[in-house]
Amino acid sequence: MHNYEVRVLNLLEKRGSASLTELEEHSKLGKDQVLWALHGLESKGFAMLRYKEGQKVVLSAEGRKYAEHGLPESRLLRRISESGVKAGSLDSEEDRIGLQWLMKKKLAQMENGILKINEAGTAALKKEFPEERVLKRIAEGKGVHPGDELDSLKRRSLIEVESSNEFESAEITQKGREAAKSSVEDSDEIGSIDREMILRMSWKGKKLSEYDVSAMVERQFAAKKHPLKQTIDRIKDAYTSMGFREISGPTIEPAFWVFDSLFIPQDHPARDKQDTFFLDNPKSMEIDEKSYVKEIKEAHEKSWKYSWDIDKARQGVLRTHTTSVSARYVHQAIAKILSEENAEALPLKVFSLGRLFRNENIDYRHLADFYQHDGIIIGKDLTMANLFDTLIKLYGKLGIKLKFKPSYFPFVEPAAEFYGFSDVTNEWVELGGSGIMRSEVTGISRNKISVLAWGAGVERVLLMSKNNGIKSIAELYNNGIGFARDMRSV
Amino acid sequence: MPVVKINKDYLNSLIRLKISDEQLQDQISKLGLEVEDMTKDEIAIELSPARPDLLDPVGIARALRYFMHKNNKFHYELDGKTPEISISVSPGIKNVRPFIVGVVAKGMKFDDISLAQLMSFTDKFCDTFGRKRKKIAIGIHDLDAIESKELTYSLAKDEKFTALNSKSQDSFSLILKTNKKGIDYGEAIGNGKEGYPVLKDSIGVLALIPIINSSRTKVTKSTKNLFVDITGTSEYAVEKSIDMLTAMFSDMGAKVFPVTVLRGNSGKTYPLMETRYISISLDEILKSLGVEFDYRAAISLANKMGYEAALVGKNIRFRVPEYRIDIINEQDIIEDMAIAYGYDYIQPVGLPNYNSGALENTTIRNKALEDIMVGLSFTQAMNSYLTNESSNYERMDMRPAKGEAVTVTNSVNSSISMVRTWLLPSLMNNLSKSQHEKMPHKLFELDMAFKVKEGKVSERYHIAAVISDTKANLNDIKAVIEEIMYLNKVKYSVSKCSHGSFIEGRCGEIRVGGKSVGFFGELHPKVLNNFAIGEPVVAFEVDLQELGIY
Repeated sequence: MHNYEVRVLNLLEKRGSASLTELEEHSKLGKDQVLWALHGLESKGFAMLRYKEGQKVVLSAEGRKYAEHGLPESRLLRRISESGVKAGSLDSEEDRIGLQWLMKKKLAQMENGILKINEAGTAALKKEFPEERVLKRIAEGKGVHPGDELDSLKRRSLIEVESSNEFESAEITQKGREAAKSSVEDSDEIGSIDREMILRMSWKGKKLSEYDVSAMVERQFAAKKHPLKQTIDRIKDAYTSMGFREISGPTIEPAFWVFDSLFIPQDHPARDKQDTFFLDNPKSMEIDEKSYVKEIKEAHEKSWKYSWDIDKARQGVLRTHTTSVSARYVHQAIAKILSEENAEALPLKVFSLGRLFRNENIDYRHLADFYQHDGIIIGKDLTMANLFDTLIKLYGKLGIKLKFKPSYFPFVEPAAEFYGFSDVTNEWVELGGSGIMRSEVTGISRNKISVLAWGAGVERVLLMSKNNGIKSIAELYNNGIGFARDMRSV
Repeated sequence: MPVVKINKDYLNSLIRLKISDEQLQDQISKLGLEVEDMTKDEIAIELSPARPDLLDPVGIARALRYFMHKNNKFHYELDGKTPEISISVSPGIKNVRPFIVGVVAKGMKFDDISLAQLMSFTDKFCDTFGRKRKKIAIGIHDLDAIESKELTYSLAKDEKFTALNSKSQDSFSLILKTNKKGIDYGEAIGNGKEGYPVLKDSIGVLALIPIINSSRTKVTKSTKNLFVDITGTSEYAVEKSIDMLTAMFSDMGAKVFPVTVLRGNSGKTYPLMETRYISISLDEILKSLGVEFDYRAAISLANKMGYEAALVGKNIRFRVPEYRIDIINEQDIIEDMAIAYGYDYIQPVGLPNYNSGALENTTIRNKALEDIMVGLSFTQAMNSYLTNESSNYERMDMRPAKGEAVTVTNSVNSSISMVRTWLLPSLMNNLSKSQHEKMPHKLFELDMAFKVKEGKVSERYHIAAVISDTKANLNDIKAVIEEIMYLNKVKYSVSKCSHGSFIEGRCGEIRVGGKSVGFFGELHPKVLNNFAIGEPVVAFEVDLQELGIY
């Protein structure tokens, strides 16, 4: 037995039972030390501890807000009580929460993308939401009753229920009384060691007391890199290990590099206002490569038989794929190869990884920004067989099996879509597109120089990785401290 | 791309072969189409954006028959040379919708399903490849309900006619406003601002183009003979489309006859059905695919994709089928050869590595910075680049600087109107979501921020960090900056600054080489209230591009 335990046990033996204050006072020990000793005695069966049970309910910051302004679902329900609203317009954090709960509580429904109130919703609006009533009571410091929606409020993190298992008193047991007879405090036993003891070696010849190694400890929170960043690093490492050099390019581009240079005609649906963010500031952006612009204009007009408009190519856009980086690179690299300025041997292998944007409705599952990685190989007589080999090896390093299917992308021919399989998803998931770049894009006959190209989502790789517990892409952008703390290693 | 639902019995009756559901699904997938779903009666197929000829069951059946080597018909020809219909185009149409072509198909045999599939195909085709009917629109009429063989295509004023599925005579302008087709497609003709393109026979209006046909020429199950017009803004597109439709009607068992289009004194007869050949050397095909096969195999593979092919000299000459309006040049044919060969049979072949892989310097430096921040027990956040004025400025108690932000014109989300100019608002939002978590909260972000400078977009890496804790104070965050600068050997100085988001007198400007590169400070309680944050917050943000570390 530890010295503290002996001291507390002896006190209990004298008194039969004692409160914490009494024990602290008579043992000359601190509160923590008494409690530690009591737990030790309890585990040996020498003492019985009594607790005062109680609960303290407090509002979280979010709960406070709702107590004041009402729950998001009741506010949203009131808003749609007259006429429905488009789901696409519900994109604030609060609207999203409101929508989720209205669907869960079945107070509204979605009809052709319009959120409409139903009968249950109309009925619910006539009285106060029970959760709201409880939140208000707590905010006003009034008592709550068990069963007062506390569980559901707790699950929504609107309240915190602090259980206060406060220690009340301890009582000695028969076994404890027997043990007390034979236990004498050993004044030579040492608990924590200090600098003095170490330097003077005063610990010599004394017993260093034993601690309870099975005692519970408080959780420490590790700071960490973002899971998506960890995945990005993994992908970049996979590329460099295969001899690929990293390149990068602008996030915000004239439409030319995102569409025109990739042989996407100016009336292509991909350029619809629906999919692409067009800029108001700056509206128009310069394209530096004048001669290349001329080549692209000619290629478009010859192949698609329409009059190509430079102003449409100058429109500022948020890139809808990172293939714009590849387009810029291919054009420059080929010029260098042809002028024999290029110092590297063919095949040239490069990759880029970055953010792209889609003008889509965002909700709790979908976002408007994503990451993509793009690879390029420039060489002579590169084949589909080479393309498949490269992608299979790259994804092999990420633990994902691949298969290929015919597909269509305007800038590659033949085009192959690839699907991945991992033990986590247990099904084939579409990952990206690939192919041999069209000569209209590279500006050179494929008999002279050929270019393999591909692009694929980054988030998918993370969702297919083992044991990280992440189920949806939107979760990755949650960034709440709790999410970060609970996120397991990728 | 659209998903079309096809009646399985109808498709099988067109394929005319006994194949199992599994075989059907497998062959469709190998052709490059995606089978989304298959039930007892229906098959749902996601279409290829490149192949309008595969938008309908007739085309899919044709392609599958080739693919299984059961189709030897490689040519499509007209069944007569004399035009059945002539269309006079008036010059006034030029600026609105200049081009019209047509074909006549006789001896159609419709039932409920085949008629519905035909209508659904034309709608899908005009919506997608026709760009919501602006570029291409198809009109299908009962030939026998047309009064005269001489039609006119002209720009009319606001007239009245009885539109398809309507009982009353309505004006064009009313149809554009109230009829569903008018509302959906009125924009293709500028909502009639310059007039209304109409096709007329001797009695009156056959169609308000490209919106709706007349009720008079409605096609029903009992219709035997069709007149089909295609109008649009691209001559090439309408000419190719009518070829494609002609092949389709021919495959449906009809006899097809030409239509003449007259402009002033000159006339042109459609469909053109021009024969196109593309020659490619076998070597070029093999070099693209990375596989080996001989001439005979190449010709068989070409047949599998519907090409008649022959060895001419050292090249293989491919005859481009009339309905393949997507073929631009030899690269498209090489893809078809790859599909015919089968992607599954292409054996991967490794490439040599002559050059070593490398990360960009920026990536290496950013990684090192992230490691420092995690070492200082900050957790990394990654937030959306997209935001709005309220989040980027107002919630931070800042006034928007005019012209500073990259803004977007057409967001479908009300919460997205601009690209973020700094990172701190994102981190504050993260803290706001973490209020019930145990203190302290330490977050950082290292990513891009965007500003417009002299009409050009400046994309720069920033680093920002926040500490929220009951006892958070200014020195805690300054110590972090100090450590970053020390480890990166950057000399800096701090001067007092005033910044809307911070408490006056508790904010420092970070200067490197005489330039302001960032700031740190304690967030003003007003800002904390805006974010519903319940504990003090200290923060910094630095423009990394200014530190000379990259």
